[in-house]
Amino acid sequence: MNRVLEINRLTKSYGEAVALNNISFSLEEGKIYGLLGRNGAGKTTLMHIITAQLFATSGEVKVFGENPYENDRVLSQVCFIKESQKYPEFYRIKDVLVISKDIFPNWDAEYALQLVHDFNLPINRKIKKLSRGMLSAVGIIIGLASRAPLTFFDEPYLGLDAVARTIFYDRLLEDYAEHPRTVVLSTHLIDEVSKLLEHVIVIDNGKMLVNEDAETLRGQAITITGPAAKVEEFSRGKKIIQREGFGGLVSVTVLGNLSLPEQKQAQVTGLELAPVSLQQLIVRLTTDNNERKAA
Amino acid sequence: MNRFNGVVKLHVVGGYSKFNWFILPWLIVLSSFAINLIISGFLNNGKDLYTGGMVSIFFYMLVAVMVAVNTTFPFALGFNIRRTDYFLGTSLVVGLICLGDAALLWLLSIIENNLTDYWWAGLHFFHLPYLNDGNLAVQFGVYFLAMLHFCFLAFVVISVFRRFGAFGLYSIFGAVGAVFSILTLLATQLNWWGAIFNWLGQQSAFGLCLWLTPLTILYALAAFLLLRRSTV
Repeated sequence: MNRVLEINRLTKSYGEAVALNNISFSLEEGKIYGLLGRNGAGKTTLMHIITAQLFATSGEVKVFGENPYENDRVLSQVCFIKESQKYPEFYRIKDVLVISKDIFPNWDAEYALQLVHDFNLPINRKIKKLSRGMLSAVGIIIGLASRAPLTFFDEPYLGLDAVARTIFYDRLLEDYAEHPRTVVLSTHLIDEVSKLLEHVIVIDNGKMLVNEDAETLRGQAITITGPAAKVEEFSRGKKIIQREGFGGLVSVTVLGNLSLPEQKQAQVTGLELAPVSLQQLIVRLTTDNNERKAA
Repeated sequence: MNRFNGVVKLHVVGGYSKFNWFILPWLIVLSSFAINLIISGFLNNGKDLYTGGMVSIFFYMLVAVMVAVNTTFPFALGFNIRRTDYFLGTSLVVGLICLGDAALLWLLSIIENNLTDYWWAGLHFFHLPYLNDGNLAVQFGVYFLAMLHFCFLAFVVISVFRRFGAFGLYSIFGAVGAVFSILTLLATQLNWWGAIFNWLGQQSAFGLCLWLTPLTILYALAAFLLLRRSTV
């Protein structure tokens, strides 16, 4: 597997405030990654640094093996769709598409027009006059039609309705199948994209919290529900990350896999086992982390 | 190369940008011209009317460059364009517009001076004493170099803003103000004013524009270095 991105001990601080704290990871070619974390965790800062729009305080970033700063070989292969992208005052949707054709070497103009149609966008309208959802759709169109080998979507579906979000997921998967590339979806709405993700990176408060295969991560926790006493006994010795009780019933979430005998035992004792969604797991992990920090 | 084209295009794409660069400044100049022409037509005192309405295009360009860089630079960075390409492409666009505007001003001054005898109304609008001294090539040079100077002055000012923010811009203005105050004080103390005005009086408009050119180059260089370190 080729590494499209390598980040080594990356730190970004603004005076006292540390936005990114000693982050290291790498991305491999041809995967869909989730870059997850709460608002303000440092996701956007990280992607700004990867695309050389911001400068790191220390550490190393290599994109396609090279430093991205003022490097056209690298920058032309990357597309970063950010929620906060600024457009000049008078640009219309169609102006942005015209420019994109020159900026992105793999730009597919026909596909872009098809997407404009799919998202039902008014191509002659000024960007400034678009609703939040339409603006997000413009970003999605550029991100997909640019076919950049490394594509970042930062909160791509703010304001998009359910239909448009479904179009996005469908088109992304279709186009990804036809034109494999590395896609990074950065979001705090985890449940909707969790099925798409092959690998998950979670950052929290500027620190790397999780860097794990999505499949592995999904199996990392399990919820056990049943009568309080039985649940207590069953979960003894396990790492409990969440506990909820209603009446005599208790539901606990424990980290780690259950062995087959354990699963059988649980069934016999009348306990209910349920997988934990990626979103729940990450919410748990990030709140845990913050509480520990606060304590 | 394509991506460099992209920078050029991002300045002139769509009807609105073209209107702002090519039509609006001339609407302003020509409406000023029309008003002055009417006034000079009504002036029946046998005197010619001299007006500086033509300089509005220089100030228009000053503002237009600042607005354009301020909005297109963050856009270009967001679309992964190299800062160097952005600077070069923008400089090319600005330079070509200066060339075009200078050529039009020059043509109008020829029409005014040589073909229409001051628009048959004694109106000195494009062809002014002192500014249009010298041969035709020199006159063109004055328009072009002066406009280029204005545009790159705008480029460097807005680059300070992009790099250091509003506070940085105020600081620089403060510093420049302080330097000029000190120089003024020195000139008064050391009785330089006579010599300074003497020297200025001896220069032709073209001579002064030539003296502006190293400044223009300095602005361009500074704008480049500032943008190289600018972030979104």
